[in-house]
Amino acid sequence: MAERTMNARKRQPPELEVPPLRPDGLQLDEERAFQRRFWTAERWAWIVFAAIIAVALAGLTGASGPLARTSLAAGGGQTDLPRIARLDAPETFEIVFNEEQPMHRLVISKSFADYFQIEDIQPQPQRSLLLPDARALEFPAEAAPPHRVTIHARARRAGLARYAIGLDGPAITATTLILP
Amino acid sequence: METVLRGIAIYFVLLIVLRLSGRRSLAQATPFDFVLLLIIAETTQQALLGDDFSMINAILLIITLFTTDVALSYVKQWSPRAALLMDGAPTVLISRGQPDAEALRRARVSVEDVLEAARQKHGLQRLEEIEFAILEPSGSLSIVPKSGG
Repeated sequence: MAERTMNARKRQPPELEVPPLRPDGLQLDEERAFQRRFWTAERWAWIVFAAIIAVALAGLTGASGPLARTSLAAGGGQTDLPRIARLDAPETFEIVFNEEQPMHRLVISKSFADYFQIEDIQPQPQRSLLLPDARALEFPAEAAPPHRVTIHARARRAGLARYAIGLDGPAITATTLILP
Repeated sequence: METVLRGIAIYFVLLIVLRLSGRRSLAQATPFDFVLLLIIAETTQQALLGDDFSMINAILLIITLFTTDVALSYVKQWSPRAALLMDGAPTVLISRGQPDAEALRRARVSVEDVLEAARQKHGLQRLEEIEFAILEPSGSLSIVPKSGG
């Protein structure tokens, strides 16, 4: 009998925590002090949620929005590119050649290819040349400028992408933040 | 590796956002809340899988999510503080028939919500018939009627 009682005692979980009995008779651990702090934290979190939405609407999380893209003058033209991009999301790079030339040359540094995979170029370049640490794309032109080239690319790596773009002249450095 | 990291990241983002959005968001689900949940599920699925629809990716993801869940249940068992943080604690909204205005307001539960739960669970008609109303960590409302009520 005594042995059975011992065994029953042994089978008891080592730490069986029972909620305290409240003065009103309820047996529960309300943790009101914690709950008050948590309610305050909740309200702050909602402000943070609203701020995140505002940041997204401004375009600072990429895709679209007034601050999502930037325009840079590069050599003989202008380029409109994403300031903030998203991993695996499609992005558009708009190139505008402003100078009248029979052949426009777009030079993109190799570091661009480290972060972006080009999916399509419109119009297609007549020639593609491999340069040291860069690639040159040549587009024949006839009519008066501006001449537009659109590159559709997909970000393949998250991080701060720094790359050089040259439009019929010296290259400039562009930066795109790729969010995961 | 990316699949595992994606799974863990999304698990914790969902855990934090759902917890901070308040427990009422899930438990007292209106038809619109149900639609919201479906949208969250669909959005999460795309973020979890990316453009890799292979079976191995899905298997890895399922294992990652379950393992994270099991690991967190152990963390909660070892640390009551972590359990409190992740699951919350019950909140007494009505004690001995007295509504707690602060608790009701801050937990975003109206007297109408309490009366609705009282009607559904115990067929109670009036507030005076309720001895205790407790907002449980799961988000449901527990109603204890007055004895003899």
